[in-house]
Formats: sequence, structure tokens, C-alpha cells
Amino acid sequence: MLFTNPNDPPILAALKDSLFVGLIAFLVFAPISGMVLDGYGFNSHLERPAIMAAIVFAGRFIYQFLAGTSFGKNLIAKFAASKAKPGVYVGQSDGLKYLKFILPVLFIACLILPFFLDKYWLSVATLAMIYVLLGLGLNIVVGLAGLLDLGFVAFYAVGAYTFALGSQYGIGFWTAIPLAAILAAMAGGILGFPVLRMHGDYLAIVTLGFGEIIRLILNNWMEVTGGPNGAPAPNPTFLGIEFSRTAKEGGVPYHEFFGVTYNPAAEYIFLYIVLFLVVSLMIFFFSRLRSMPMGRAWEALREDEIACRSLGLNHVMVKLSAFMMGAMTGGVAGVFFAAQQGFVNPTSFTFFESALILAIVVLGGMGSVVGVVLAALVLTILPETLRTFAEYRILIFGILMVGMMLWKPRGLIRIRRPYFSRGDSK
Amino acid sequence: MSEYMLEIQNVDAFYGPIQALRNVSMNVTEGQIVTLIGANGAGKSTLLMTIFGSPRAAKGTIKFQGKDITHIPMHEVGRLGIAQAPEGRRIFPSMSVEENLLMGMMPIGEAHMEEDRAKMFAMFPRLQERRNQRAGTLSGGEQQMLAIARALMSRPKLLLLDEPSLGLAPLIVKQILNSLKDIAAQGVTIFLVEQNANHALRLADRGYVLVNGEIRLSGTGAELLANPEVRDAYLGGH
Repeated sequence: MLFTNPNDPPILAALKDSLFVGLIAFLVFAPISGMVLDGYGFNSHLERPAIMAAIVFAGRFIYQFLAGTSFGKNLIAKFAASKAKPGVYVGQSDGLKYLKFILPVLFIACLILPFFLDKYWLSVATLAMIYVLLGLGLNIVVGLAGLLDLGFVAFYAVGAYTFALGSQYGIGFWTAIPLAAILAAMAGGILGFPVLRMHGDYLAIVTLGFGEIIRLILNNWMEVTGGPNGAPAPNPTFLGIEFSRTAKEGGVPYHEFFGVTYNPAAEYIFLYIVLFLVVSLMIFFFSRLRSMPMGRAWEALREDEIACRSLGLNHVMVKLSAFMMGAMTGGVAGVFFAAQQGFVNPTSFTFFESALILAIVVLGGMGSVVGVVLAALVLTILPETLRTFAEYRILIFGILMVGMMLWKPRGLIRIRRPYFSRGDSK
Repeated sequence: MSEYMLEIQNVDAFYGPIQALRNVSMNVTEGQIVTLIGANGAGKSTLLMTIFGSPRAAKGTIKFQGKDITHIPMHEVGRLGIAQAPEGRRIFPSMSVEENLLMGMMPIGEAHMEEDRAKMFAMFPRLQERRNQRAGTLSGGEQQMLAIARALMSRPKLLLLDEPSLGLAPLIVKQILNSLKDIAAQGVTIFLVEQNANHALRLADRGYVLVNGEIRLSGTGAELLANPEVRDAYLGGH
């Protein structure tokens, strides 16, 4: 550590280390939990970060002190020895053993979750799912194909406006989903084609510009998009059944159809469940993508373009397909966003959204599906639970990002390479 | 149909204003190992890459099995039955060894995967040991083996190799060059670009010497090995 010197007796070294760690903990916690907003001012509660720092200090001290004693060394050695075999060998993964039990449980838990949430948390959960979808989409473009896209929100906007504006021409929720996917993919193709000869920073700037262009068009093309006033989006329906208390002309509200009492949250529960099923489908698809030739081609192109081309891959098609596939996912997410909000306007599609989605991908681990899902949940649910610290949201983001880059530069979950061998291990 | 598998006729190539190849003509006969030797910067790698159209030949023609391929895009060359283990290996470092091999199958589809993978593992047992390892963590020699194996996965008729001995220990060089003999014995025509003239000429049926972008000498491997000019310039004069 920083201030220790190798000749210190272990107890002194532990003390110095712990003090240092405690100090860092205090510095980190002080602005977050030490200041409580009160109107336009704030009250300082410095005892809170002090307590947290003390806990960190004590934990570190106990750990390090124990590790220095023979008892602790034995303990560590015991844990280490249980796995180690002599010689160098390539580790095989065994973490997936429990997956087939965990996955169905998780699936069912998420499916019935909305019935136990109040309306506020339900909207948070829906938003979280939307960001999972966005994260998965951008993950193809940035994580797999390695094309830095800073304007991803454009495709999200295309999807949302497809539903909102399309409803004026009789396009319903269910038609809007595939339509938005197609339109967003086309937008991705239109953007992708001219910019594909660019790399890295240049590509990032052009995509950033594209995102802004879409937002400005939405903002200024009053006759079509409604400009800053936005456009209303209709409620989703299910086989023509509506989720409102009284149906519009000729429709049937669900509580009359099924003969149940009216629940104002039903619409949102329905939306959540549909969204969750779409997300599940996408996760299923994306987790297989990397073992499919298309997914492999994207990754290979990121690694070495010349090698790829000499292996017979048309780099233009490969890049374009990544762009379009990512855009498509973003477009679908947009439809759900519009349906949930009941209203869209250009302020929902600023650069900050793009940055947030990119943060999800980077935080989750480029190319990792599980990581992206986790990061999306964390980055949407955490700010909601920390509503009281709303002003610090960006600060926390920043700290989180810096920390990640320092200690986990490959994201929360580093991608596992798929294995292709079957039963011929020796 | 011409008698040669690969015919390069009067090719010029440029990098911007700099001329890298001058009126280069050479032929590769089917079933042979043909080597191109030359000093640093002579244009060896350029010649190999002009076959793939990068840089494109400014003048002259390149024919593969009688078909003019001078102007077709790089990725289509790869589908004709020409594969290369490029200079600097250019494997995909964060993909596993097996994924790299699978990438090699891109031009022909993955129907022969099990069979061809087993063949590669038999030829390079080290790759089998490390098949789930990220390719970037392999040693230089293993990476070269992987680059060759990846190229072979597309079942090429013609294999282009750019300095497979570069930066490798003498023992590994020997091993890799020996495996080229096996590959040639299986009916793959090999075009080998090398600085290691001694090894390359011993192996080759035919050799060309490239100096400053021009073909200076050509002949059978044995002839060139005995040629005093070659001995002075590339074999240390003894």
C-alpha cells in the first residue's frame, strides 16, 4: 500500500492501511450521505459518513491483521489449496451448473413481479426493462462490433415516434413493434452506409451528430412531429381489448371482458409483462449470438479487419448488419417507452440518454449479456432509490465509471468464450 | 486454362507516390511450394497483398486458375480458394483458438468443422491443448500455427504465407516449416514469402528473389541455394 513500508511490523502496516482506506471511504461517503438536502440548502450530518468510514476501517484492519497472523495464513491457504492442482492447466468453467435451476426461477419471479409492485415501482421496473433492451441493442454495436455509437438514442426516438405518430394513422401497439423495428433498422442502415469507412473517434463524432440531427428534426418539424409539444401515444391493447375504465368507440375494456374488477394499474402490468417477454426473447437471442457465425463475424471484424476480409467476409455487410440489428432493438425499446409514457417529446431523446446507454454497456462489460442486464438494472433502479440524492446522480455515475475503469476495465462481467468441444477433451 | 495456378504478370503497385513493385512477373505451379525471398522492404509482403487487392495492382494482371482476379474485392478473393496466413499472424486475440479456426471456415461454411478441426489438431497438437484459451495468450509460435491452421480451415487450393518464421525460435521455425511439407503433401499449393532464405529455399520447388520491387533471380530451390549471388546476399556468404 501507499504509506506502508515493508519493514513495518504487521500490526502497524495493518493500521496504516486501514487508516488510508477509512479516509478514502470517508471522502467518498461524505458528499453522498453526509449532506442532506433541505429545500435549497442542506444540513450536514457528518456523523453518518464517519460511521461508515469506521466500519470500513475496522473491516480492513481485521482482515489485514488476520491475514498477517499464522492463523489467518492457514485459513487462506486452506481455501486456496482446496482447488489448486500442481502444474499449469486451463480452467474449465463450472459456474453454469446451477443455471438451469436459477433461470426458470428468475424468469417466473420477474414475470409475477408487477403484481406486487405499486404503480411507481412498476414504472421504474418497466423503465429498467426498457434500458435492458437499449443496452442489449447498443451492446451489439459497441460491445461486439466495436463501433463506438454515441447517437444510439436516435433509433430509440425513431421507435417511440413510430408508435406515437403512427397511431394517428391507425397503427396500434402490436403493429408498431415490428414497424418500429423495421424503420429503426432502416435508419441504422442509412446512417451506417456512409460512416462505415470511419473508425473509432471519427465514427463516434458522426453518430453523435446523427443523434442530434434526429432530435432537432423532431423538435423543429412542427407539422409532423408536433415539435417541442410532442405527440400523444395511445394505450396498448391486447387483441382489441382495452385497459381503460371505459372503452373508446366500439372497444371492450378488459374488466368487462374477463369479468374482473377494474384495476387502474392493469395497463402497466400488461405492458411490463409484454416488455419482459420481449426482453427475455432478446436475451435468449443475444446469448446465442456469439456462437453464431454472424456474431462471431462482428467480433472478428472488431479484432482485425484485414484478416476478416481475407477470410472472405464482406466488411461492409458485417458492419451494416451490426448497426441495423442494434438499431432495431433500440426501435423496439422506443415503442415501449412511448406506450408507457403515453406521450413523447424530443426532450426524452437528448445526448444524455445516449451516454447513459453507453454507460450501461461499458459498465456491464463489452459484449457480455448478463453484465449489460445487471448494469441496466443498477443504473435505472439505483437513481430511483436514491431520489433524495438526485443532484448527485451524475456525480455517482462519474465515480462509478472511474472506479470501474480502474479496477474492472472490462466491465462487471467479462465475457466467457463459448466452448465448441463436445466430449473429446483429451 | 493456363498451366499455372497463380500467374502474376508485369505487376506494378504503389503506396501513394512510392512505387513498391516494378513489373513483377512470377508463376506458381499447382502442387508446388514456391518461395519468394528478399530483404526488408523489397516488396515481398506487398506482392502477396496485391493478390488480395490491397494495394491493388496499378498495372499488369493477376490470374488464379486462369481467372483474372486483379480487380475483384478482397473478400471475394478469399472465397476463390486462396487463403493466407498474413504477416504478423493477425489472429483474433480475444477469441478462443477454436473460434479462430471457425472464422477460417467463413468462406466455405461450417459443414466440415469436426473433421477439419481434428486434422488441424493432429498437425498442431499444441492448439488442441489450448483450444479454449484466448488466442492472444498463445506464444508467438503457437499463434503462427493458429494462423496457418485458420487459413487451412477454408480448404484452400493455394495457401499464401507471409514470413511464418518471423520472430520465432529456430526450433519452432523448423517445426512450422516441416509442417508446410505435410500441407503440401496433402495437395495444397504453397506460396511462401520468407526472409529466412536458407530454410525457405531448401523447402521450395521453385524460388524467386525480389530486390527493390523487382524480380532479380528465379530458379529451382537448389539452383538458388547454389547461386553465389544469393549466397552472398542472403545466406551469409558461406
